[in-house]
Amino acid sequence: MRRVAITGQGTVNPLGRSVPETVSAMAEGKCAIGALDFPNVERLSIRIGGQVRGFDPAEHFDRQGQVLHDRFTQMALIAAEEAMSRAGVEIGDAMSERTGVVLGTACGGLQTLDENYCLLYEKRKNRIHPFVVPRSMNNSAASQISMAHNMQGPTYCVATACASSNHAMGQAFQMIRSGQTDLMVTGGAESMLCFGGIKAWEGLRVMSPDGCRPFCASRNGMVQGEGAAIFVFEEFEHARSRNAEILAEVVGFAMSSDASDVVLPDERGAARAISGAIRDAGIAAEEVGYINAHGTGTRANDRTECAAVRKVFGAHANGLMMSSTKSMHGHLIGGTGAVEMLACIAAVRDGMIAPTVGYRKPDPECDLDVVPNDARQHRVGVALSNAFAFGGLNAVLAIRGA
Amino acid sequence: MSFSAESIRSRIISIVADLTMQDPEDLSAESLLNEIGLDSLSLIELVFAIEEAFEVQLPFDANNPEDADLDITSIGSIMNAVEVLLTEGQGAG
Repeated sequence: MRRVAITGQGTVNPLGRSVPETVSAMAEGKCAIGALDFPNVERLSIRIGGQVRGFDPAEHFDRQGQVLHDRFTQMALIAAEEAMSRAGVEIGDAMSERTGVVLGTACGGLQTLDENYCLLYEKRKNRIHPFVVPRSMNNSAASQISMAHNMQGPTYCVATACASSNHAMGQAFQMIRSGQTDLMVTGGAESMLCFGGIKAWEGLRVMSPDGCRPFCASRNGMVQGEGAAIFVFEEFEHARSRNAEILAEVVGFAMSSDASDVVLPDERGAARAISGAIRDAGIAAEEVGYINAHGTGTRANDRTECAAVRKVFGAHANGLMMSSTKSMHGHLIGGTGAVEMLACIAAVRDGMIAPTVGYRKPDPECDLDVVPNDARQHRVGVALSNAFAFGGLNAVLAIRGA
Repeated sequence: MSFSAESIRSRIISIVADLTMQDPEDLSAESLLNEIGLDSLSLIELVFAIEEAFEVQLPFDANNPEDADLDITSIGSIMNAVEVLLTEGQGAG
């Protein structure tokens, strides 16, 4: 089987407008969660989130780009630009058909729908902008990236709620590994911080009004974020032959379905995805030194996730670190696994273990080393990224230092 | 709402200039739409922007632009269509 290298990464998220900014913010344990700022926020009971502040599309896009792209697509395009320039690869015609894009997003251009439904239903307008469909479709970001970088191979998006990005990156990994393509742009993007977006989430009663504190006894729910993170996955020898810097190697991927409850997680489903990724990577469980947890900060997720990790790792559960960076950037829903992959790469590449911030008090049901509040410097061999979605869909990736 | 022929013409020129990112001075009724950088998407935007500006419904059919009742050859042909629609009182909405 062919090996898969990560040769580029890029991001726009609440912690930073680039990978270096984001990784330093993680190393400093910064929290980017704050008061939400958008129309009608005063009618919400949840008024905090990880918003990308001061984002001005005019700085990045011409008139058509501003009119044609929803915010999630704009962020994905900017992140893809950083990732491709970091990878230092131009997609010429010879390799174009062997190159594609798979992105995760749960709700695509939800803000476009929100704004335009408001015009139709509240403002009673009978005509809305003709780009509502191309802006709001979930595949908009994947399509625009393929156009921007001349990628003519398999291009699509995956929508599996909070696991979308991990499923997308897993697909990209498998395509290169199996020989279907040689290079894939992958990751995810989400931006649903708007009145309708948050209102929908409020109804589930899983949102915290005051902060995201994963694994902490005082945790009281999740906090939503927005943004994008995009990676260049490349066939290992292809990357080596052009002397590209290899940031990390993707070694394993597995997915599972709880097939039980829409919102309540099941530790067995999570455990099957974790152990499946380890098996797929052909490694010993003891090689895993860091897990970027799904760690949403809800009572149910964090307890179940810790139980699943104990179940898979046995005694080694005490010998690994597991943090939730959602405490800093919030839950980016369909884009979350992608931003969290940045923390996994920083762990295996630089030994920077991102912390779980906002941690106040241990919870006996979450008694793992959750790297509370302060980042650590620690060499790790393999890192896992967990994602467990509503709908009971689990996706876990394993990466190793190059 | 009523528009003078002159205001219809200058408004349409400024809409096209905005969409194609050109100086309005470089555009006239004689400008051909397929020569001023309007792609398939911007043509649909143009129809939308004109409908919004004059509160009219243009008989444009993207499936079959040539056979629709709207002549989209030039800026002038669109100006004429808007003038006809407005005199027919179609702009009452």
